[in-house]
Amino acid sequence: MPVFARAMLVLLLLGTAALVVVRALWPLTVPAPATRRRDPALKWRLAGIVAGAAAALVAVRIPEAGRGDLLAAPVFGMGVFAGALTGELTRGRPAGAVRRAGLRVRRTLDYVPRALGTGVTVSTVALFALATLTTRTGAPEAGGRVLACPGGTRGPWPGAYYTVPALAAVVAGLALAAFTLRRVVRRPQAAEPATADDALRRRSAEVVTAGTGVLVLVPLTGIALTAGLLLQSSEVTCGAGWWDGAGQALTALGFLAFAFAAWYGACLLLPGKRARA
Amino acid sequence: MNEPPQLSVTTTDPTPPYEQVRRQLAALIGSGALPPDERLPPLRQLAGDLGLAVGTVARAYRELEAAGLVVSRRGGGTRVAGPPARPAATADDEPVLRAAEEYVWRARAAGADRGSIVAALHRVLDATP
Repeated sequence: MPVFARAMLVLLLLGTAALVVVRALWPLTVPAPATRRRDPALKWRLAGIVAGAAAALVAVRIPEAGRGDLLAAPVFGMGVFAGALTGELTRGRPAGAVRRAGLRVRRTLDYVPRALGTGVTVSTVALFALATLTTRTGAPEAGGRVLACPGGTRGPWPGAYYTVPALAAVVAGLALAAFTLRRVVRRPQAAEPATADDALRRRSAEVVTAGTGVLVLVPLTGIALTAGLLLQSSEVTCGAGWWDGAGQALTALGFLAFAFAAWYGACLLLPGKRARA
Repeated sequence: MNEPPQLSVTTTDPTPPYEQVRRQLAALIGSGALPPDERLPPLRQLAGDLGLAVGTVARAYRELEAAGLVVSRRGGGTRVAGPPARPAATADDEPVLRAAEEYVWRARAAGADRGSIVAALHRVLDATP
């Protein structure tokens, strides 16, 4: 499992890099004018991405049979959120003799990109549903690392040994993401006019949403592919006829989650249409 | 998307900040820039954006509520109040009532109390032949 998981992580990085190049060369809209003031939170967001990547590399090296590979994305996500949160906290407070405020009520949903947000919600539900299923079907022997069959056990299986620490890290990451998003929406107006300030909030919200997507989709990829490939394996003779179909469906889900994880990674690195406007 | 109305507070102005906020909101409500049932920003949001204490904005909202210009509901935020319930009127005095309502609404939005509203009306009536 570790070799396969690492190969998938490397492919994910390559896929993300390719999508970043695609988004940079063929942007969805005209790039922002060069005269626009640089976002002071940008350096903190980049620092968060770098720190998250470094922490993910450390997690991958945990010598526990692939556990670290499932922790890599949540750890990376937490680095991204910490950077975004620091960037928001370091924005200036209103100062000066004349202070202005728009009278629009700010809601989180107004800033989160709709497609990315919907994808994160669906992926989170899928991850928890699948992890619950694989955890319940894992054999108690070997800490849930194998699938129980009448004729013995087969592995590796994403049972409790893998899912419990991974889901704990995902929950912690989601909590930090929610806190960061709340700060993005509720922080005082940091730029004038209000439309410029809204653009800063939209980009920060996009970074947090994209980071959440990576955080959720990479473990979903790992769990779905591991379970799907095992169910399709000819060595597994304990299954009913429909297991093969379930294996194919889970493998397809794994590859779909993988592709979306690369897309979310690209959104993390380059602003989308709404955040540029 | 239309640019939402804006408030500004000048810290060097001798007028207290709560009064600056109250006056501008009242003017926006009176002019119709903030229509009935429009939700006002939460206290913390507006106070944070203007760099004021929450209590300062809360005082402005309280005074607007006392003047009948906004309505606060627990869990529902603060919204611009709708026009007051109209008393039963005959066809003859309908236009007069409508004009009186508008006058009272605008005067309240400007911060006038009942006594000044009635006094101003008497002065205008006395000065008009």
